[in-house]
Amino acid sequence: MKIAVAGAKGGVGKTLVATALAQYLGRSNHRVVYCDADVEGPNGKLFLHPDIERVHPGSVTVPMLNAAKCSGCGTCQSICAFNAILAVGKKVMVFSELCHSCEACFIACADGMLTRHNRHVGNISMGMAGNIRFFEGALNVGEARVAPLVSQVVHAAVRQAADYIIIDNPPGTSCAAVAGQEDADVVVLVTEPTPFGLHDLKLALALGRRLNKSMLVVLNRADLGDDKDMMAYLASEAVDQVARIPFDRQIAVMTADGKSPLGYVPAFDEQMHHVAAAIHRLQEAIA
Amino acid sequence: MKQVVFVSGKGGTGKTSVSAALASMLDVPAVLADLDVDAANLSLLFDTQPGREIVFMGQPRAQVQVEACSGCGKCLAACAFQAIRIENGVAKVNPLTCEGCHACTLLCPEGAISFVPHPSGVIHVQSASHQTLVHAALDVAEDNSGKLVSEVRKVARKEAENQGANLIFMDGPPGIGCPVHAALNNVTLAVIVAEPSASGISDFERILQLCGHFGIQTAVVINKSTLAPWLTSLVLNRCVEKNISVLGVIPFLPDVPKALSQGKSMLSVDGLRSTMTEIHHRLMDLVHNDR
Repeated sequence: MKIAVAGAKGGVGKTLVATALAQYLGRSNHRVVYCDADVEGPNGKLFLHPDIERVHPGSVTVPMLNAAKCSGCGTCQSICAFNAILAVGKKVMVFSELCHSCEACFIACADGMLTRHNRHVGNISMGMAGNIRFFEGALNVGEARVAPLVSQVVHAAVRQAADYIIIDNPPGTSCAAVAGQEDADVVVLVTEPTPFGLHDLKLALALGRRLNKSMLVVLNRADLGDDKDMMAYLASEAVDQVARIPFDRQIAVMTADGKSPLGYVPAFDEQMHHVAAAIHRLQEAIA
Repeated sequence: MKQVVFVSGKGGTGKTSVSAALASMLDVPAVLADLDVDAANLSLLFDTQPGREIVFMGQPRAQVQVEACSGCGKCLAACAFQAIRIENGVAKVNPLTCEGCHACTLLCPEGAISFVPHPSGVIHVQSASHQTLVHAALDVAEDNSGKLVSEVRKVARKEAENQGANLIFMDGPPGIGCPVHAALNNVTLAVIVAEPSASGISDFERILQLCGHFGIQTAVVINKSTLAPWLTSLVLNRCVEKNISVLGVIPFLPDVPKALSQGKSMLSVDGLRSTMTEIHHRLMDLVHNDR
């Protein structure tokens, strides 16, 4: 089963829940994969401390110009929808950082003056964290396009033979978030009972609906504020809140220190038990 | 025009709450902008009046004219995004994955594919207490957030020029990808809101590196400092090493999340006003002394 842990807002505890869920499910001898798809800020390793076995480059296809033979006709520039090719006079220049790898220019260039070149945009690391198989995508600083690396690391992870594949998603609701959730059987939305949390939960839910996903909600720092509006909203949307992680200084301090509260804060363990139980129920319903 | 943007790498470090508090303390004319177009929250901390709306047009998407399509499938092979499939003998485009690149039109023998612009977001121009706030909402599952960030900045700039304001005060998006690049482009100052946590430090290093990559003047506010004092020292040391101004250090007070959960400013919390006043003074000194 592929589980995306997601949410539109940053800092609500997506990584905390995703890593703890991986550890919780891993306890009962399930084969568990954890995939850190928040490639702009991958932090799962700080909680899981994996031993990295392999690092692969993540790359995208970009055009490279055979400048010596190029006639400078400019057809490639006129077809490029992303302004990644500029023809000035007879001189053609490729700005590969803007390229979306659509390959339209290869089709358009009748002279075959463009060849495929791999642009290294980040790294995909693989290893083991105890009995959890660990994947991480990390975007190179300075790279703009996020979604291709998210897709690559998710595709690598979902190919594994496993009982549970947990995908730790990037925040937001745009292309990178779509890439992180596309393959999931269920999306666990993490949020907090604040006006920000509610506003962003509505967006995350709209994305999940658009992608046709089953969704569950985990409320983090649940006793922080007034959750009346949030509970009313979830009821109106018929989405289940399956766990309420308390606002607890020990959880905050342990998390800050890169330690998982699982096994140390009983109230936290209890909530992870609820998340796992909800996932099992869903699994039975699907089967 | 001076332009200040608050960024963080990691989400949830307090960009919005810190920038909103500082915005409300500004004693010079300024326009506010929320550049987190995926999940814009700045307006939630202000009493905004309904204002003007501008529709944002996204990348045109492929559309197949069913009558003209022969179902030959050449477009499928052309599409690098697997956005086309043949259904009932004609090509069908998935608008969620189509990036609007035109590769399919190049190979379609029937000329059956056209590109149709579609609205993919809205820019709002509103008055928020005594300032104008520009913010936007990108529709879910859309791309082009970097372009929308640039559009929001253009609108904010025009507003500032019309009002004779010399400052644009911006709450940035999380991360280090395209919307952040668009947010950092040509700013006077980037203020990193850092959080002393294992994740916070890791993301702080990445955004610091990105600001360095673009050669942008950078300053730091440390938020929730007492959560992990040893990590706060680590951030402070990094700032000394890199010769980066620290505008101030905000302690972790449980009353802050409580105030925010009620939609109140962090300035309403006892003991924070003097800290924020100092941060405000240091920030304005840096902005005015620039260049």
